[in-house]
Amino acid sequence: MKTLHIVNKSPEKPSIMERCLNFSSKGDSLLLIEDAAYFALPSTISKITSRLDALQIKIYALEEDLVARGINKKIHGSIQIVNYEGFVELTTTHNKSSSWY
Amino acid sequence: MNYSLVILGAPYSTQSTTTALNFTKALLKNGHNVYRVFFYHDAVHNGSELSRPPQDELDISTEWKKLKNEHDIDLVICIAAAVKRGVLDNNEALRHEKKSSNLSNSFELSGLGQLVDATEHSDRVITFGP
Repeated sequence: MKTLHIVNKSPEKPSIMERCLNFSSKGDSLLLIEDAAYFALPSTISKITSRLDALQIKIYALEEDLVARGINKKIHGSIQIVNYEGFVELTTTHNKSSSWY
Repeated sequence: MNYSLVILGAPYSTQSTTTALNFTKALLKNGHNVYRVFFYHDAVHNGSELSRPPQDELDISTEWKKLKNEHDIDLVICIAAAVKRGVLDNNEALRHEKKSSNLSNSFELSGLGQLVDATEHSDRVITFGP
């Protein structure tokens, strides 16, 4: 049972991501959408990579939201970019999703 | 796969609705079925027939209308959340002795039972937070 965690709040509200990580299990995935796209910046994601790595969590970010914020070319190399069809695909390959907001 | 969506954020104030709209279009493009979209909390404002955004902005209400017409998607608005925010259909306007109603005919007001039903009949339920 893998869960797709969908986070939409910016790093300015760290408690949302904190809660998400506390409820994540090994092998889950994390999708950054809307203002959470800012987590994809290297300086920001580096603050939580040790916890993400320990849980072997794959990180994805929604392309449209990265582009809208002008950061699509600045994100950390470990983060995979997906468009809306990729978002749909992620919801098919994970049998559950949790939204954190 | 059968999908249902829960939308919680107000249109134009949050990105919730536009994200959900784009997701819905991608679902349909990929051959999935949308069983129901459930509008809860401030997302009930999606159902107002009276909203008129400027011409250079996305007309969210018209976007839902198009999806309703082309794919017959069930668009359900939580009745309790809607009535207290001033989104009323004819029945509710009469019941509460209001002079007019404003619910777009693409939507219907109903109870939380419709959300329970959606979770029962869908392979996936995706929530779009405010």
